Amino acid sequence: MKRILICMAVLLAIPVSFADEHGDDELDYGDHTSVTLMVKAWEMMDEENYEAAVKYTEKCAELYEEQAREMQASLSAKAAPDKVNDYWALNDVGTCYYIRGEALAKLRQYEEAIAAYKVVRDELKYAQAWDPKGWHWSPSDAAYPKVQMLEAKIKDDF
Amino acid sequence: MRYKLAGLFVVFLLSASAGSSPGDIDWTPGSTAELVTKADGTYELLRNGEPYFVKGACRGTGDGLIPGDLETIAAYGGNSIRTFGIEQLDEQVDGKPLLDRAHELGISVMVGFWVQHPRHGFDYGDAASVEVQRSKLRDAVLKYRDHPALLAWGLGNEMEAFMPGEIDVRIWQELNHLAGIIKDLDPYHPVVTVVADVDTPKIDGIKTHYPNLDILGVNSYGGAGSVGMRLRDSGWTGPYLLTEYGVHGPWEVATTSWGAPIEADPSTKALETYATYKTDRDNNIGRSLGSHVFYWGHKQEATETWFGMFSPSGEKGPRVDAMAYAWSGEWPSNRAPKLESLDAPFAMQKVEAGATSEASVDCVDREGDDLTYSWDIRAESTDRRVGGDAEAAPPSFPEAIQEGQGSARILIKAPSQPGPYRVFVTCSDGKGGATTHNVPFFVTD
Repeated sequence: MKRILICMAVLLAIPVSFADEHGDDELDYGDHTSVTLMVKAWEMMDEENYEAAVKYTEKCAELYEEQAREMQASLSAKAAPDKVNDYWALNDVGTCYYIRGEALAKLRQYEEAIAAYKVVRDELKYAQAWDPKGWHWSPSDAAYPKVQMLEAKIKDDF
Repeated sequence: MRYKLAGLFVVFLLSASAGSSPGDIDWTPGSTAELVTKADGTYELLRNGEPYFVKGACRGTGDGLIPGDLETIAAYGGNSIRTFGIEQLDEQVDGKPLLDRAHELGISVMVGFWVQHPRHGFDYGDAASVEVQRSKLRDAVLKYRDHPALLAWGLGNEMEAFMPGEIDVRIWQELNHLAGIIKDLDPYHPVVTVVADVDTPKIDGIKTHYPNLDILGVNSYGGAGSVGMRLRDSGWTGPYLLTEYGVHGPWEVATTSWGAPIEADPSTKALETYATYKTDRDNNIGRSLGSHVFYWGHKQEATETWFGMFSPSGEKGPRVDAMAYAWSGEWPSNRAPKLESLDAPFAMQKVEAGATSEASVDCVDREGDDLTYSWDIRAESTDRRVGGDAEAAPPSFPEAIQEGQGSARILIKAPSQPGPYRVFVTCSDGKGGATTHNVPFFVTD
């Protein structure tokens, strides 16, 4: 009974701690799964609420990056289509880093955006994202031109 | 008749030589382009024996041609153009045939031969039509194979695309036959076939049915920067050229609530074009043999400014400067003006017919040139097509500009006819550079 009560107390404390940590009571992390956080980050991008998108991606990485990196380390190439979902943490966290790059670029925090893109480009490179149109795409591959664009934007006058 | 018989005899001799070694063929190539496979499995293109990385552009045609376009490529560090149909070689440039003028300027040409598209009604099961196409190809190869400007044969462009269902394998099989014709007649130049982006089924079809292909050409826009990676993932281990790239297409961008694609600002377009070139080049060494930027000329496609790198009056835009920087590492001495902002309160909005509003533009010229301004109100394009097919330009409504034409600030009166429109502005430096941008708006009753 004591153990159950402790668990309940911990569960009740979690939302409070999230809110406190980020100083933003309005963010709803839902069921806290990686896919929920990733989807919410995309939704915030669609709503042009880039600060919130960044926070969702931060939470995504905070909770699941360790598992994502373990999955990345277990692969030597992108997973086959029938195995993609086995690497859920890698896929979601990799996508979250891509979204983070997108959001930070919109916020004109270019150095930070480049850093985010580089994480998925170089360290979570076998992540795959699902396009509702019916196929997977690679956030890592998509990050290559993004890094190039932002580095050129910082360095050169276009 | 005597000439015809003589011609037939020549064709017979050439046909008889097909399959024999190049030394047996009784003609001398004006140039060579050889694909070399290195020990590590990567590739290199050797032109006349020297390593050659293609820094190219897709050249405009017809009304989209810009005077002096080839000189600009050469002056800005480019080294190649891509054409689409063999009839383009008949165009005169500075009073000379295109290939001759290109050669004078040190520009190589990927000579395009237009392979017919099923979506245009071509039937690959019609033996007579297929033979006509083969015959035209033979004629073209015999006519141009010895020209020193020739880099490669661009056999087809997106002929597999924009049809429902799976790709008809007869297309790949026929391309394989056509490539065989080229190889028989000209073993000195590689065959490139250009497809509309990549996916695994497409690559599988090519690998299975098209072994004569030397270099895969890929047209890609929003995904151009990742073509190399996606080819790898799709199982293509051969060399490739990025044969069209530049900016996100109108089919890949956000739209207004009425479905009008929102065109990026000119600086972003220049940056994207530059970054795509660099990304492809730097991350696919030994696999990407180079690229052709789209579109070195003027073209109506969704808007009159989306893909064309020059204004209709022939002034270069920021994307041309970006390519100079990409190709040579140097910015041109005179750059196109920079558009800092286009302020139009009605942008992306719905406005009532006859309503008035101001619009203003902030352009700067890095060299301090005096700028002139030109505004245009046009209907949204309704003649939208796929695959780059020719589109008609929508009508202009000059009467909608009430005051300020020629200045940086105008007063607009929304057209009386409800519907979607765009306002365009062009800032020109008077020295061959211009920057243009547009925003959509919608007129209601």
